[in-house]
Amino acid sequence: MFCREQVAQLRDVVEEIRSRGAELAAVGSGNARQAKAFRQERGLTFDLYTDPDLVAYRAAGLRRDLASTFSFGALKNAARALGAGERQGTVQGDPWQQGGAFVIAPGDEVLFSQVSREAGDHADPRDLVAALPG
Amino acid sequence: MTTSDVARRLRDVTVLDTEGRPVRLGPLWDEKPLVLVFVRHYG
Repeated sequence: MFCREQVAQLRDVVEEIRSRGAELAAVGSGNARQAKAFRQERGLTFDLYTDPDLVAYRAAGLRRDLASTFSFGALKNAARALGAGERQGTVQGDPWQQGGAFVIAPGDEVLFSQVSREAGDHADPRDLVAALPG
Repeated sequence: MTTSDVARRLRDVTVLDTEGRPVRLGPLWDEKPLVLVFVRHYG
């Protein structure tokens, strides 16, 4: 359920990101076929990439463990997502892999960085937009 | 680890697009800022 809620939030800010001269991309841990179906099903206009071997997740320093998936905070976040009308579909990809978000400018300048501590712990899309220059 | 280290490490990582073609991450932010979100999983 976390991912659908997160993607719905991103879809809401993609045009604002582009209007500020930036682009949005998402990386997931499933395979390309799953990503393509997910992108079409959700009507996403930004690029969705897959990282089946979790090389990018590791390079980004993101967490992968049971504790962060089943923590109390994750349960609270699950309750929030359900309240917002999002249901988790069949899990595709690595269910233990935690997420994160970065805003990176030319020259490898990191303007924003967030590493999820537990499932459902997402960066606020407004904070991502606010981190953009201009 | 400084934050720009993250960008330098991610720069040379290759991911797959929805057609299964390899894409290097670095060029995605060479021309303009990129909001890069790592999702937990699809579904």
